[in-house]
Amino acid sequence: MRVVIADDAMLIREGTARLLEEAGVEVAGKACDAQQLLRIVATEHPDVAIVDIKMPPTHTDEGLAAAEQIRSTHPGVGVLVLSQYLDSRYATRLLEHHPEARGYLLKERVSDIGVLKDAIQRIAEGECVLDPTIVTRLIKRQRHRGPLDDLTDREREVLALIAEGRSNLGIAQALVLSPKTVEAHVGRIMAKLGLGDTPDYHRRVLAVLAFLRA
Amino acid sequence: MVTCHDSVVGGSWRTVASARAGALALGALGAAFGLLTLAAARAAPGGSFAGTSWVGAVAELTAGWALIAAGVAETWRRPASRAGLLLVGAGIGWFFTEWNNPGVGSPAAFTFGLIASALAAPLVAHAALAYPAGRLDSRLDVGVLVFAYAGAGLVLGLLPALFFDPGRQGCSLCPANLALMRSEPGLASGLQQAGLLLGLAWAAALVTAGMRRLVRASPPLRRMLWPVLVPAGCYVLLAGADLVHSLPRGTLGNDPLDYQLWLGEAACLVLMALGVSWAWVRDRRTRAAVVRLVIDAAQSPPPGGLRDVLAQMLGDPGLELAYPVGEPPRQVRADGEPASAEPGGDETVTPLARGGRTVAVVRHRAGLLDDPGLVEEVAAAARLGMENERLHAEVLAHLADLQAAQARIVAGGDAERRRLERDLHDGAQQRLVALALALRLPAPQPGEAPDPRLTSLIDQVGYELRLAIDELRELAHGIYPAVLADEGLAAAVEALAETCAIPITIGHLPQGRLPAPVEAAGYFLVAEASGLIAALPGAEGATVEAKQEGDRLVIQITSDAAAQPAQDLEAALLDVSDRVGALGGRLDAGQTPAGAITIWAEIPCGS
Repeated sequence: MRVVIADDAMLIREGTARLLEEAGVEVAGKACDAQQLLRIVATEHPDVAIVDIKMPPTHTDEGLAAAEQIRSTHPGVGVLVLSQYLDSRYATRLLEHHPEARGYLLKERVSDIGVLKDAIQRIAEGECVLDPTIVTRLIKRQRHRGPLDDLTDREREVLALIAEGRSNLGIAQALVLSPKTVEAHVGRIMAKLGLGDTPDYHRRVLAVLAFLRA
Repeated sequence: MVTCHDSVVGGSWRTVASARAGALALGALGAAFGLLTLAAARAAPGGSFAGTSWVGAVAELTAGWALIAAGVAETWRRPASRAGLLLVGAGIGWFFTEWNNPGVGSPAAFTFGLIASALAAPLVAHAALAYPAGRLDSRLDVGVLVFAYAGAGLVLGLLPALFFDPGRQGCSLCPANLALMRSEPGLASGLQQAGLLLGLAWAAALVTAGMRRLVRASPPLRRMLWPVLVPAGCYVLLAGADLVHSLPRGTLGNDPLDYQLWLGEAACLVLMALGVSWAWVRDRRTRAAVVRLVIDAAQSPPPGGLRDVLAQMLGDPGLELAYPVGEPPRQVRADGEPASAEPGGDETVTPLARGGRTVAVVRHRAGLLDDPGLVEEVAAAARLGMENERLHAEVLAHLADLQAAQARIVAGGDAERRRLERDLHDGAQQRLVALALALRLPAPQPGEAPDPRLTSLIDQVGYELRLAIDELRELAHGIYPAVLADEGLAAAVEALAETCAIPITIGHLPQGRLPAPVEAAGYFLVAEASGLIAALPGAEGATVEAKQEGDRLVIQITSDAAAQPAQDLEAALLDVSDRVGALGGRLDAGQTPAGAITIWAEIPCGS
């Protein structure tokens, strides 16, 4: 597994790189802004680029713009955006059109090598990843009575994992369930939320996110 | 070009009084001269126009006296202008024509008639071309008048008189010519002939000069000029026609056609005098309109009303009236808004002053207020109204200043909030993340098992760090949400709905970007109002809606269920209310008939 890291904060850039290297991930390059990142991606062709959302010059959403650019120039490279923002808006901007091989985690996840490595792994395999805290926030959002109230606790757990971008197999592993049981849960959840049967994994994630954000 | 007129133009009272007295004396002399002229004409009707009939007598006196009266009155109204004296002069000049009468008896009077009888036309033209300021606008006008005076007074008057010998030229009844230098009948009639021909030239030149002046005048000045210039032009045309008629005869005369033309001339002069008085009627109407406005203003002041009256009365729709306020003075309109900085290409600025102090400034089309008398009139008539409007404008300007200051304070506060938010995100939070990361980097401890107590402590610290990062994030978001600055009002309200303690239903929100202070005011209004509703007992939810109506953003937050506010809503929303107020908007809080709480605000969002 080869990654490149783009972050303008040296401590975080270097620390993340060291942590990843010790966990057996090859760090093919380090960048401190979007331009440098794009150059390294072009030469190194990594599996995944880990990108801070705020980089010079404006320190707002350069990471999202870089992800967009990487999609058009190097469609095979996955992107994990690290962000300070909990608002689902930024995550939605990253995922809404092309969720394949894209991930959005809160910045502090870099200190949890397990989570970080898992995310990179999944992105490299083409899955999409959304930070559990953001998903929890969306699910806990105050709503008028609706289909969400009809879900059982287990179904809510499964729903959260769907929103985090997990595949059925991933959900089965996380909850220690058989894939068949997970499939049955997923079917019921989608029916209860009125989202229909969406066999495609990425469209399923987007449908659930749209439902939760509405 | 900036012209400055004081409303007490005309200097001291002594000057004013002497100008008036002079005009009055000259007018009285002129009027008496008219009577004398008529008496002379009636004594020798054969060589006269006025002496032949009552109609002639009336025409003679009416035309002359009308001009004299108009001249005296003009001087009375505007002592500083010589226009009145010139009009009196034209009236007196009109009587000269009658003295070209062989039957007049006295050699002195006869000689005067020989020399001066043709001077009426240049005198009338002079009065008309110099109206209303009493001075000639251009060198061309001066040249044309010199030409006319020379043609009428010298070539047609003095020069032939020097050689005209009445006895030898078939006028046995004529008195002696006192100006006769040498008896040269041929030269005298030759000069007469030349004078008549030259007369055609100067008459044409005078009419052309008058037309040129009318064409070049600004529309308002032209409205004032034509009632005077057109009759004067007609008069000169008729005088020219008489010259044409006189050419075959070789000398000015008084046959029936001459008489008809002379009657026409008299009528033109009466009209010219009426034209002068028409300007007074117009001024009076302006004054009356301004006075009416002042009276109206005492009840309910219409800001800018005075400008409208002046614009209408002076015929310049683009006219602007500005008042100097503040220290150092800057110019504001009646509504307190800053006045246009510089006059445009064909515009002039005329200060209206009282007692050496500029009360108001009129920006108007060039030429509109060139006549100092008019400025005087405007300043005098509009004085009360201007004082009233100026005070009003001053108050409004101060209010605008205060509001601008308030808006600057809010904008400054927002910038500070934004900076704080960034500092927290990019500084403190970043450092905590780096710290959490550093904590996880294992120190190389070859061959040694990690101390379980140390591992547990590190986990503990990591957990605490994560909590600190979370709290910092919430704090930064509360100070100024990044999503508001990055993505606008709609995105920020959506983000707000994700964390609000009650369900928020989002109706229509404007998707485009608005000026940052408007977005901030809208966002903090929704945040405060939904928080307020969430705190009410039995709160079920709230609905947020915002739309752009013209150049205003209208936002409404309504509670989904009926509720009784525990406190005064407007007091609870004071901060947001100040924000909205600083942008010139307004906020209203109350209950719908069904008992739901509704908070409504309207914010101007023109940049």
